[in-house]
Amino acid sequence: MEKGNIDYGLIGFKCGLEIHQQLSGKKLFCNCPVNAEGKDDVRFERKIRAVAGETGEVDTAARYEMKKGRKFLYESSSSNTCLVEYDEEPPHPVNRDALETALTVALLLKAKVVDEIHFMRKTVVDGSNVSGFQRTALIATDGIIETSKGNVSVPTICIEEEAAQKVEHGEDFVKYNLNRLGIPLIEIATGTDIMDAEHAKETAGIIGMILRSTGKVVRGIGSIRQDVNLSISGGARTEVKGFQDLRAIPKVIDFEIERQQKLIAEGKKIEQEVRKAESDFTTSFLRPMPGSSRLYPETDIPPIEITKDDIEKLGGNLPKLITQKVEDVEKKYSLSNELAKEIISEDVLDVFSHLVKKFDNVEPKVIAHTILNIPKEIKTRFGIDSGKITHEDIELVLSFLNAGKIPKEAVIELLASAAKGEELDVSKYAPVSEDVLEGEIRQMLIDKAGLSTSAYMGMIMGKYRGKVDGKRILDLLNKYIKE
Amino acid sequence: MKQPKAGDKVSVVFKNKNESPVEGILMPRAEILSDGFVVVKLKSGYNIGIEKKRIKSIEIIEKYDGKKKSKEPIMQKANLPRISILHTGGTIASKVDYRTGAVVARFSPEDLLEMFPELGDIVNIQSREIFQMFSEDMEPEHWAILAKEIAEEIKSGVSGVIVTHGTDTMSYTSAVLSFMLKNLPVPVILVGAQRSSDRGSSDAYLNLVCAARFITKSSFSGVGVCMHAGTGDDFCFVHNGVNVRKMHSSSRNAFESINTKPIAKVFHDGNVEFLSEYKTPVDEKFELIDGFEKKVGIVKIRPGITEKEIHFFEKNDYSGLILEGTGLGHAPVTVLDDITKHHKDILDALHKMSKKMVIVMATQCVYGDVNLNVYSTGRDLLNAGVIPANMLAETAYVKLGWAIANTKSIDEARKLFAKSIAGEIVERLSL
Repeated sequence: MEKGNIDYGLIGFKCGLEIHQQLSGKKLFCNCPVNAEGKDDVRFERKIRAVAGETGEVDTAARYEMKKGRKFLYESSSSNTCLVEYDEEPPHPVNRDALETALTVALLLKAKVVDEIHFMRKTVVDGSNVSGFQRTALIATDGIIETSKGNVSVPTICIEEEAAQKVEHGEDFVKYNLNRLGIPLIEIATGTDIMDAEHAKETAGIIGMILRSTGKVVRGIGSIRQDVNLSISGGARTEVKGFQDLRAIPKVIDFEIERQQKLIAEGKKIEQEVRKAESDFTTSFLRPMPGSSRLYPETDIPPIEITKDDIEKLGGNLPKLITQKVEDVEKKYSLSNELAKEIISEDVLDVFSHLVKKFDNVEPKVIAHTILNIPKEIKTRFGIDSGKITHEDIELVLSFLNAGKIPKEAVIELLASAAKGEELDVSKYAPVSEDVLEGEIRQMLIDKAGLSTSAYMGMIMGKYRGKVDGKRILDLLNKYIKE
Repeated sequence: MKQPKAGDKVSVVFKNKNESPVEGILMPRAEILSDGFVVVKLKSGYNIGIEKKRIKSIEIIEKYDGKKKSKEPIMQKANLPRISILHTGGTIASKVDYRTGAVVARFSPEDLLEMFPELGDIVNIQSREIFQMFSEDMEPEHWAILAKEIAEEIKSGVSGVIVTHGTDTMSYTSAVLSFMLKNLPVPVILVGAQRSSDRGSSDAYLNLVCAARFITKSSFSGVGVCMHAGTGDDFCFVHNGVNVRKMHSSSRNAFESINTKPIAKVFHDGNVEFLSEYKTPVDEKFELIDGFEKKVGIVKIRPGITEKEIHFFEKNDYSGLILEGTGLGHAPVTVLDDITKHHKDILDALHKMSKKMVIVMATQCVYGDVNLNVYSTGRDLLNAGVIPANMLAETAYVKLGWAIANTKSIDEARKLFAKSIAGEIVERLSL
């Protein structure tokens, strides 16, 4: 499909996002760390029952699961799971840090925080929650996200427990790893105000940026999940899950629209279903759309009152958004947007500003380049593991540059030595004066007359690598060869 | 205008006109919580608390009609044994009202089969509610009522009785029933749940199904407790009612047989593995001996204990006292120096008191037996008239209360106490 082919307004495009983000620190209802690593040393087996409501009706999906008589096999590491995850102990009081982070996100989204938070049990029968339910609470409503195409509404913001991770399944069992179970999750649901596929990506990107701005989210694969809900006129609502990458969102949406349009053209009925985003941007059937979930109060967690004081305290302490931080750095240090972004995303602003303050004679962009790019360049150019380069190494080398003891070109050479764990020999890189360099070049042209420019270049560079800028040599060569 | 009630669909209108009203179902609020908030269940299913100060009015959109559908009576299956399920409380037979979130107990045979459909393939059920209480609220009077009700059921000819019970004091009840129900012809099995039955992961299902399976598969004729054997949902243990103790405050496998093996391992599919000897019916008349003397106390011996604490029971006319001693059954009764000279008062008090009441020594170690012959401390206690309880301290408590009430003198009570009645005195301890 060619880009820009779709008239989203015309096809009755409706689209909303649901973003789940893991929070770092401790789990939501116990004292287990979110990211400990230990061997899986706990194993047990359970069954989950379909539970009839007071009126006697049992969820059809739940009964279906039960009829299958499936066993759930659980495994986990005792270093990051405890009796709470095993459903052998009631939940501990809610993790206040996680709750405050979620409230902070709510305030960043300009949402209304509820007066009193009530945790609920959301019935889950696929075994991914050992207890048979997920603990979840609505913490704020009616937020907004400002985008280039207008405001996108955020009707609800929830905090909830992460589910266990499915690792294997067979005919009569499903195996889950519990290490993830209970990690605090923020769930942000947008309204269906998203205008088009690109807009979905932009909105997801902004939400992700706001979440990361708190500095309290888990990073890496699986720590944030974007689900896209969409429908077109004559189609049906589908939920697409499992985006590995934000960049895939527009293509997947367009392909899903195309799929639905094709089915409509063929006169086929489109089912409400949950679909999985595949790596080729198509989607595949995952499961039928679940019925409205049954929620009932989590009586083991008392309601939590959120006072005006709480809100004022959090509101007065809101973190600066990443976009704002980038803009500030860009302006203050006259850096490119690219470098400023990297300084923020690599979390090196403290080191950077410290070095800028210390070294008046070195341009900020050189300092940024030294911190961010030179280690990478050492790895690609010299094949040296640059992991050993410390901020102290960088500071030392920049101090030589600042004092005029070395030319700019020597920075990478010295840091490469540092990476190899060698002593830094500054004398090797003492700057060469213009006179000396000119004399050398003129002498060479006489001694070895008739060679190509690149041959001369090679000879001079061999002698002055790291001491002289290559361009300067080339300029001189061109000047004298012409003569 | 009518006052809105829990369950009504309402619209909460705010004093601040800029705030749009919130629609939802009005929820009940627990009495222990501050009453400054109104709880509303939103259409999404989430509850939120709204500060009353901010509310202008709560308008009823739709009244809640709390009527329930009556259920079809169930057919008895001719080839299955009939058992009785008596309910005393706890979370084993509760359901959630998803509208209000209230947990309600339900135990008509129809309700039970709806919750535990596989029971219908194992047994025919008759069921009744005896109490609806937390087991920690149970008094010895309740034990006598329950024993009488069980006896009624047994006389009606059932193959066994299941008693659903809160887990906190379940082992006290199982022990006392073991003494009150003499010459039981059929098994009486207590069943509880450590996770309430409103959740899909509840242990109630396996515990109840295994209890029913056990009744149909064994000739046991005592009082047992059927609970999860491990954390997994693979099998249950049936414990002898006098040797069992709740050993964990929250886990599924909280119940353990102490100093002995459980009677049996029971699997969901009905497979039963017997692990130890058990009581079978005797050719004697089934009898109810339901007296209980409440004036029996328990004291946990500890460093720093004084004579006053022990003397309290004499002053208040108690008939029996269980000492939960240290180690093999010890108490500080030896005088070594100035600091320990009051130990003599403790020994003297016990000496004096044992003439008027039964004083029994159990061990706070839980595991292992009492032996008052090993150290001089034990021998001093024996001389003071203290008798050893070679059983769990809780079992000793209910047995002594029962023995005192159903005999005419302290000596008779002592004799009855020392006699093994339901397997509570374990004579062989193994590793």
